[in-house]
This record gives sequence, structure tokens and C-alpha cells, in this order.
Amino acid sequence: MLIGLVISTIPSRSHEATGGQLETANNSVNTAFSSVYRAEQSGGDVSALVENLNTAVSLIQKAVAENATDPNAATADLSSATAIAQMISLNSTSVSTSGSMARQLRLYESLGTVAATLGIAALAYLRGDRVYRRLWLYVFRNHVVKKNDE
Amino acid sequence: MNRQIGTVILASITIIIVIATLAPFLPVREQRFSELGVLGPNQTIKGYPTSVVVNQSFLLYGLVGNHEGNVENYQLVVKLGNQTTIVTNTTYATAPVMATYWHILRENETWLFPMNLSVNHVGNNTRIIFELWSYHIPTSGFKYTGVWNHIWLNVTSS
Repeated sequence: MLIGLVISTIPSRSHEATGGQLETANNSVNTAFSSVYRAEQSGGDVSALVENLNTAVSLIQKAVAENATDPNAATADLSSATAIAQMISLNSTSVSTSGSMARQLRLYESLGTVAATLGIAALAYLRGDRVYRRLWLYVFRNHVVKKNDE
Repeated sequence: MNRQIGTVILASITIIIVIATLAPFLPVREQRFSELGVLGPNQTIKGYPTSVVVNQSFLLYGLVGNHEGNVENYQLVVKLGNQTTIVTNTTYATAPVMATYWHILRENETWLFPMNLSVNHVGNNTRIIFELWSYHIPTSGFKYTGVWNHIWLNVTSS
């Protein structure tokens, strides 16, 4: 009976949100933010990542607010926030890779457009007259010249 | 058409197309800044409380805008100061923290949020200081942006 009493009076620390858990969640969010920042710098679309990151931030703030009244819920929220942040860190890598590839593709497309424009302009300058005359002759090949006073 | 005029037109069109195509890749110099606003209970720049009862909650709205050219991780720190509390664009206030609001903003995004605050001791010329901090990746910590705001309050016992 005494053992039962002792066990029942030991605070269930495993269900209580601790400073360590809060620090872990905060660090996870900040680390995830650094990954998102780098993904954005690489040209990736980070809209969805930022949205999820804000969900993690909201969970942390909720956990801080409810820690005094409902430590179990606070612990669960901090765990969820940490999990979301870690997932974001992982996803940032692929967003970063696809962003840099898309940026490179856009650059190549632009350089291609510039090269084509310069090529067409050079051709127009060098051969424009000849092409214009040939085209004129082709268009008016059946044209019959008549006197106005006929 | 005169050949010279044709050449000029051709060259102009070519230059315009080349510049328009490469423009997105050229570096642009824009003024970069973070914005902070504190709004009254009606989400406007009026109706700020001037006198509140101790421990009684009052509502204000915070407005944070990101124009830094990249995603930013912001914290708005609300501090309880007084006449002697020093806060400048380079020095943050050394005062007790009342509340912290945290949000991540993309470029050109703004964040409007309610702040339910209360002051736990009586005093005239109580100063509620709002400081904007942002996450600094090289140091892995939040850094004071130098953007701040404040309101004055008389906190009465009843």
C-alpha cells in the first residue's frame, strides 16, 4: 500500500512539457527556417514550407500558453511542432534543388532567346533586302501591269 | 523604306528584346526594410488606450511587414518600460518582457495579429515597448532589427 502511495505521488515527468522540449522545438523551427531561407535563395518556391513552419510556430506558442493548465497537451504540441519542423528541413532540400534547376533552365531559355534574336537580326541585316525582293516577286508573280488610260 | 532607317529600327528592336529577356537576371537595387506598426483595438492608428486598470486586459494589434527581399523569421517582443527605459534604433530596451509574438513572413507579406496585454503594477507614464527582432542565421539567434515602437499608459488600481 505504501509503495502504491509513493508511486502515485511521483510527478509524471514524462507527460510534462519541459524547458528542454521547448528548446528542442524552438531550435528545430529555427533550423528549418535556415533551410527554407537557403531553398528560397536557390530559387525554390517556399510558400508551402513557410505555411507549415508557421503551423509549427503556432503549436509552440500554444504549448507555452497551455503548459500551466494542460502539460500533456503542451508536450504533444511541442512534439508535433518538432516533427513538422524536421519534415520541413528535409523537404527544403528538394525544394532547393528544384528551384536551382528551374532557375538554370530559365537562364538557358533566356540565353537561347537572346541568341535567336541576335541571329535573326543579323540575318535580317545581311539578307533582308534579298529576301524582301524575292518575297515581293513571289507575291506579285501573277500581277499584270496595265496602263492607267487603257 | 530607307536602308539606314530599317537598320536603326532592326537594331532598336533587337536591343529591346535582349534587355527584356535578360532583365530578370540582372541585380536590382531596392530599399530593403522591415515594418512595424501598432494599431488600436479597431485596427486603426487611433483609439489607443491611455489609461488601463492594473491586470485588466486591453487589446492592440501588431502589424509586421517584410520588405527585406527574402523570407524572414520575426519575433515581436513586448516589454514593460517606463520614462527612464532607453530604447533606440541600435539599443534594445532592458526591461521585463510582457509577451512575444512569432511569425515567419515571405517577401512583401504582412502579418496583422491581436495582442491581448495587461500590466501587473500600478504606475503613471508606464511605457509599453514593441521591438522587432529577426532571426540571424550566421549567429543562430534572434537579433534586434532596430525597429521599435511604444505607447504610454497610466495604470490605475481601479
